[in-house]
Amino acid sequence: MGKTSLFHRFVYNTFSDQYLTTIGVKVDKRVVDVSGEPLSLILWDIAGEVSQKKVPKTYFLGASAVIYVFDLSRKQTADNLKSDLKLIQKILPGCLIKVVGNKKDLVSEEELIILERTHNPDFLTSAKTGENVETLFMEIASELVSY
Amino acid sequence: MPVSQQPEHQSDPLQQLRNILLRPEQERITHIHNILEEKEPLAERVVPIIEEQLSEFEAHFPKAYQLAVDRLVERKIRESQEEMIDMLYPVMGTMIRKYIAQQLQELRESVEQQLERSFLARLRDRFFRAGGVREADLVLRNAALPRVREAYIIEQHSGLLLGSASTQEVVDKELIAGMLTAIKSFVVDAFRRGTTQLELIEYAGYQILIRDFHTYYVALAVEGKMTTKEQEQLSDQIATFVQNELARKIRADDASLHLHLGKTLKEYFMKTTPLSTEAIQGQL
Repeated sequence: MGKTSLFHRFVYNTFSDQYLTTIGVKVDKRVVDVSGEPLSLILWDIAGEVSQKKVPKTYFLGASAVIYVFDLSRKQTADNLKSDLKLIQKILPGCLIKVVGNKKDLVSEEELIILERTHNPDFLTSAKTGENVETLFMEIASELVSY
Repeated sequence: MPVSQQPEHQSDPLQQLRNILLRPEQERITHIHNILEEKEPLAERVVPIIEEQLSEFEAHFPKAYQLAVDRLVERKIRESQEEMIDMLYPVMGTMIRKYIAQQLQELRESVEQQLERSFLARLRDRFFRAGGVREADLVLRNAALPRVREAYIIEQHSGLLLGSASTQEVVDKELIAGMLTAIKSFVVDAFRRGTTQLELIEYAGYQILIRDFHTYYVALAVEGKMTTKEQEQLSDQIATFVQNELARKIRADDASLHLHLGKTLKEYFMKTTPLSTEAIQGQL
C-alpha cells in the first residue's frame, strides 16, 4: 500500500523502521502550522491491514484521525475497504477518517477515473513524487483543530 | 368652623360611625404595622417559627427528600464517571498496595526473627562488624541509589503526553510517550493477561516503572536497580502525586497543565532519591 513511504514523506523519522517488524507500529511526529498556531501531529504507522487479526486493535484506540491507504496499482488492496471502514468506525466512533489511494504515479489517467468512481477516495497521492502528501496531512490537521 | 369647611369624613355621618366602630381594628393594624417595621419585635415573633420549621424540616428531610437526593447523586455519579474513577483510583491502589506490603512486611519480620535466633545470623553479624564491611557497604549502596531521571504522564491509548520532567537530554518526549504507549499496548495484546498492565521495563542500567490510572498512566525512568521495597515506595509517591496534582479533569491540549505537571513532577520525584540511608540500614 505504501503507508510507510507516505509516512516517510511527511515525518522526521526519529526511530528505526525495525519497530514495524518487531512490535508492528512506529510512532513519529511532525509539528505543523495551523492558522499561525503550532500543532504536534503524532503519527502511528501500523504494520499490516486493519482486518488482520495479528494487528492489535489497541493500536487504534485513542486515535483522533485515521488514514486508510490502498494501493491504486493493486486493485485488490481496496477489496476490504468497506468492511475495514466499518470496523474502524466501530472501534473509533466519530473519528476522522481519510481514504487515500496511493501510488498515483503508477496508474494511467483512465484507470484513475475508474478507481475514483469505484472507491471514492478522499485523496490520491504518490509517496514517490510527494504529490498531495503534504496536502493530505495539512487538511487532517486543520480539520482536527476545527473538530 | 362652619359646616361647609369641615373635613368630609367628619361631616359624613357614615364615616363617623365607621371611625367609632373600627377604632380597635385600626389600632391593631397600627400595632401590627409597627411590629413589621421594627426589626426587633419582628424577630421576636418570627425566629421561633423559623426555628420550629427548620427542626421539623431537618427531622423529616431524609424521609421526604431521600429519593430525590439519591436520584441526584446517582445521576451525578453516572455523568462524571471518568472523574470519579480518576479520583478513586489512586486512593484504592494505595490502600491495596499498603495492605499487601504490610502483610509481606509482617511475614518478612517473622522470618527475620527466626533467622536472628539462629547461629548463622549471629556469625554473619560478627563478621560484618569485625571487618568493617557494613560501613563500606553502606557507602557503596548509597552511591548506587536508584534515581528518577525522567518522568512522564501519558494519556491512555492515544499516547499523548500530558506532562513530563527530565534531568537529562532525551529524544522528543512526545515520541517517547507514543512509543511507550505502543509497547504497552503490544504487551497487553500479545500476552492477553486480562486487565493486567505492563508495570516494569528493564533496559541496561535503567528501569521504567509504569503505574496505570484510568485515563492516563505515569512512567518513571529510574537509573539503577530498584528493590521491591523501593518500587513500592515509588508507587506510593506516584499515588500521592496523582492524588494531589491530578484530581481534576485533564486534557491533553491544556498547556497550563503541561507546565504545572512538569514543575511538580520534578519536585516530587527528582529532588530526592526514593530510598533513604536509614531504610538501607534497616535492610542490612
